[in-house]
Amino acid sequence: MNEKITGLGKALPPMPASFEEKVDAALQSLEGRKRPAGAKGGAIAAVAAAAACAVLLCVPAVRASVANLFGSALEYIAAPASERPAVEGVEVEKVCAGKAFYQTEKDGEWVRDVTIRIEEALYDGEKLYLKYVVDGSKAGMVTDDSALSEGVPVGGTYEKRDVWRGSVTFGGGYPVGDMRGRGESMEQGVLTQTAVYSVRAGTNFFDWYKAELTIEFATFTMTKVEEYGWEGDPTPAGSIAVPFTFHSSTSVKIEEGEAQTVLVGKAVCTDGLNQYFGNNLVTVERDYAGTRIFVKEMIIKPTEIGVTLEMEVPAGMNREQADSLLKSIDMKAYIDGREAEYQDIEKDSVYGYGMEDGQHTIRDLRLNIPFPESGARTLSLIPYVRYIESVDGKPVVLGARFDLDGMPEFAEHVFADSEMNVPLP
Amino acid sequence: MEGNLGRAWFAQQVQDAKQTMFRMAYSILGNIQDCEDAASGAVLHAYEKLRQLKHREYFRTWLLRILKNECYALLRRRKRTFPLEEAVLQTDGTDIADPDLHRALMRLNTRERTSIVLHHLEGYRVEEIAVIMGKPQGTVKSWLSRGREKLRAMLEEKES
Repeated sequence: MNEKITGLGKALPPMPASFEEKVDAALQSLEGRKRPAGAKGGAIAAVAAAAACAVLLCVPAVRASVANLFGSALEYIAAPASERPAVEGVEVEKVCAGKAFYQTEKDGEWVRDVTIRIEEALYDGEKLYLKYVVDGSKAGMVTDDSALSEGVPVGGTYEKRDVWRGSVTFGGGYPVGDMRGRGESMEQGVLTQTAVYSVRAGTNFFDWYKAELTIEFATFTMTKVEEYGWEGDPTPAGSIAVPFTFHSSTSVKIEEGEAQTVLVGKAVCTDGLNQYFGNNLVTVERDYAGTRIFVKEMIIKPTEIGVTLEMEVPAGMNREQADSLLKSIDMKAYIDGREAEYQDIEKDSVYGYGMEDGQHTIRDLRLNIPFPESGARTLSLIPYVRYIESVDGKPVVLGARFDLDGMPEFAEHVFADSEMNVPLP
Repeated sequence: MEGNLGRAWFAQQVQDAKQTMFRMAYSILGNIQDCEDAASGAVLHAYEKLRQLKHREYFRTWLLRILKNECYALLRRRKRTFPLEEAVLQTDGTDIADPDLHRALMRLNTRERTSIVLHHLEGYRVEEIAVIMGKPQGTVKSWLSRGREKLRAMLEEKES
């Protein structure tokens, strides 16, 4: 056996010339490309260059006097991300809450409720840039990364409108809905823009496909908020604000084992497998006492939070019981006390290396939940066990609560190309 | 820190990693044509993301992780047409020096096979494989352990 492992190279074909040629061709194709631009640091030009889904923005613009209001924003942009000041009370809300409809390729069902949320407004002294996300998660869609609009010159025509009306089109340009808003502030601009997004749609990977979403919106009103920001005049469609409380860090880590949930007490488990096969339900009593669930890592990205959990079961729990428990674990997530929907959960059943059954078992759970609105302070994760009723009046699970602020930078061995963000075909 | 990493440096690193790239891609995909597609996609993707590489000494691990993602993306697409096992069994083994070991290796699941190739053939440490595969070290150890056990069983069965 050891000899075979040593000769493992003989088990694989030699690298064919065609493979080398294909790699060489890829390398040669780089010669015509520009050097990749850095996207960190908040520099407008760099961020704009990184915006793959560039937005054509044509704006009658904000009148010149408004430009003075942006003076301090320039300081914000110039400052390193870690030094950006936070402004209490500035919230980011959805700007346009329209209903978008489109027809899936597969089953012809219509989905709706697409939200456009501005995450960041930047001003470089001349132009205004909006960074925003199309959120179709409620409609079963997963959007691509947030987009940054092209800069809009500030100054020039200023128009006041009490009621505006926009529309959202999807795919082949179907008119798909209305968006309404109203603003009566003194400082009101009219912003009309067309955005092209790549949108992943569908409830699982194989249903995803790319589509174009064309959005025309908006109206915004701005009033100065303290020293560094502005917030929009509330309208039925929401408001625009400069989210200085947006977390500048894109990835953070909770130290392993820091927050943990301990399952306590015995539980009555109704066997779901028998239910599936139409047999009689079987009720068994299992002892999950001592089972620990703890956060191994947490990665915050612009559109999602990825949480990797580990589950450790105590000695005495055999493989069957551990597998059953793993399959039954689900999660509720709360952001600042409000329940958040999560989009995906991956369970990977793995036994510890070198361990015998029942000695020590580790399970991984991974779930991605939508990124909290800017300014969110806490994330609460409440693991719970389906099919299980607690006995003895004791809770089956305990929750874990994490402070989203002040997390240390994540270790360098985590890359941006994590499995959570596998590029789509 | 590594902002001055140039195209020439990048190209040289990729050239040096080609053999490992092929073996890893083949371990996952079992199909030379797909390996070529995944590798070229990974090269382009890596170059676009080069600025995100903080330390040049981690380049190869970083590149292999991107390649792994490309391979899995290909796998997901291919599942709609025919399973990996069929493609593997279609391999006639003409260019393979040890067809028995090849067949045994290809009967492992993808993660076990990839871990074994990276560890026992390419010499990567468990912690490096964990980074490449995006899984905890304990998980990788488990893949290696079970993969070796399965290989042992299959080869012993063959010999008997």
